[in-house]
Amino acid sequence: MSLAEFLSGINQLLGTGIPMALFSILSAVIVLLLFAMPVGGFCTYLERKVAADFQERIGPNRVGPIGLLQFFADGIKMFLKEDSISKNADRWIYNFAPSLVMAGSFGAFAAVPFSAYIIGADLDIGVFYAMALGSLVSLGVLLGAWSSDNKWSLIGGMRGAAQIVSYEIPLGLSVLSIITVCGSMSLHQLVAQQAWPTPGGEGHFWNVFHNPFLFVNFFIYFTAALAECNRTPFDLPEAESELVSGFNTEFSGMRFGLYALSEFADVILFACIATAIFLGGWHVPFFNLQSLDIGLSVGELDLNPLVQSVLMIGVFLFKVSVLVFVVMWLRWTLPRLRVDQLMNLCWKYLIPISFFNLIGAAVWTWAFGGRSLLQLLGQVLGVS
Amino acid sequence: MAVSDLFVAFCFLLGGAAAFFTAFHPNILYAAISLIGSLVAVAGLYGALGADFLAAAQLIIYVGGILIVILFAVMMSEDIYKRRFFEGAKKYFLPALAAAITFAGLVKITLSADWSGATKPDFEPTSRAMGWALVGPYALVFQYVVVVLLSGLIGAVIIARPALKMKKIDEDLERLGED
Amino acid sequence: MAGLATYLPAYLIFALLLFSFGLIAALARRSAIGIFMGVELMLNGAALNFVAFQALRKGVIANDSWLHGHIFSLFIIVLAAIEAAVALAIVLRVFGSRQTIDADRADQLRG
Repeated sequence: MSLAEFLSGINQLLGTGIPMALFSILSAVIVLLLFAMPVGGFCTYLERKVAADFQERIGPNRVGPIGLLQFFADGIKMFLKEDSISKNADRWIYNFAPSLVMAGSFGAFAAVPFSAYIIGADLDIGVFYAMALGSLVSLGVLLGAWSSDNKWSLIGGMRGAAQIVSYEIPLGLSVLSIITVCGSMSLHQLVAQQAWPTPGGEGHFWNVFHNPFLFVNFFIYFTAALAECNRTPFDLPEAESELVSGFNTEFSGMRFGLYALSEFADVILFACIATAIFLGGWHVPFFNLQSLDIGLSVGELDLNPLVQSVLMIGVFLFKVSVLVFVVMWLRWTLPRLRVDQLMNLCWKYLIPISFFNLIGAAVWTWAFGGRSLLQLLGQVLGVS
Repeated sequence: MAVSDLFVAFCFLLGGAAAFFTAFHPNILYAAISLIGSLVAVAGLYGALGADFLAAAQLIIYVGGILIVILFAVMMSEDIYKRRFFEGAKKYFLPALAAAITFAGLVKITLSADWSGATKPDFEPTSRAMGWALVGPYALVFQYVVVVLLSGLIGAVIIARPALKMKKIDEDLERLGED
Repeated sequence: MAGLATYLPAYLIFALLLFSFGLIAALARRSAIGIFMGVELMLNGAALNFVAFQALRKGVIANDSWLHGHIFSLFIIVLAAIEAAVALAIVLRVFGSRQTIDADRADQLRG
């Protein structure tokens, strides 16, 4: 019994209606165990390796071949560490806050379309759902910071919440321009529309190349997503030279681990969504993977979807890892912004530009009937 | 008993308990945090009633926006470590009485009506229909809300400007009056 | 408890409960933020009513596909957002001028 069959079996068991919400929670848990946790852990190793490369060091190399098992060691260390709570900390909130952050960043993975056949829950409001769950993160950061009774934490948490709330606007506007062009919020359908354009086909190739406005919006999305994940150059909430370690200063053991893990999960999540809505998901140029036919079957079972899925997941994860690498690259390249520069960048540049692009994308869609630059080019050249 | 019934019952319990703490908890910060419970429970009920777009909107606007603003306000304006805002049972007596009477009366009215025959249609995604409604029959209301939002935001910015600037404006006004 | 999910009065009574607790918070709390939280609870209760009626109605409503109930709730949520912004601004101003947000003590027009 495959995972998809198992999930659809559960779906049938629950019937229709709300079980959809429950179903998405359930699949989120499964995805969490199968994907987010190990990949998030692996990212901590990768981050250290990339950092070492940039600084011409070797980096972790003791645990396993080229240090590959380092994150297991880190995980075991975190589990075994004493979970200390400072005396005046607000215990209830202190224990509750990390789980909020975790729920926010892991739950959203349910809607990520890894291939045409593998998606936790194909929600009609997929992108919106992911962003809604992501808003829990700011709450968790703020509460965790306040409850640990430490002024560095509190300053970090306040910065974090203000930053996340502000950058949600350009993020939302750039996603909205995609929704305007594609006319859907379901991540599955958004990806399906980005196939290589064929004569009479629906696909209009990757949204980032759809029109100039969306091209600019991709970079706005990326910048805003960096700020949402508290990554350099926007890592003010945990600025180690000013605030010790920011909002998670007082957290130790696995609670700190949850914060660290969900930061990486956040990065991967935003990379996944950027891949799905801007970079064409599992679509590659010149060829539609879904039309691949190797003509192989075992008995009655058609092996095509399986082979396609493997290829699609490979393409999808390749794009995601390129984006994640760029995020790590930026961390060791750019200096940190000041608070006022951070707010200026958001309110004076990103928001006006993304508003302009939203209107521009809408006008483009209206003027050219939703066709992309590539499709128009094909029309002019007489290809399609 | 279906899973959906259990889920709805859970939402009722969570929302009711959280609302109780929001009303009665002596520490204003805990009251604000238990408000999360009510808001999430209402979002869950929206989901249960097939309003998927509204459920996500409730989460993103209430939990991600309004609650953060409330927590900011609490943290910036109260000495939360020392002060308790609970004024004893006396302060709560009249409001609780008024609320209880309202509650009892409205429950009586609710239960006296005949609700049988209400059916739940199958779940359909709502965002498309809502989008059409917003540019169709509700276009004027939508524009009105947009204007209210904009004027409200501008008003909030003007009110919240630093006290120094307001003082300067007052002085300028006074000087104008003298002239 | 069978059929609770499709039993309309359950939702209405829950919405009333939210409304009543919100009323208590709005009337009894002295902190301006506490009052504001009560108002938010009351708005939530009202918005839930609209959605419940939309989902579990009987009979036919004119132009039903416009989802009137959902639109009303959406407007309530959006207006609550701007209310929060204005309320925070007022709270900050009041706190700046008299170092407390006790609603009973903000009793002067000039400040």
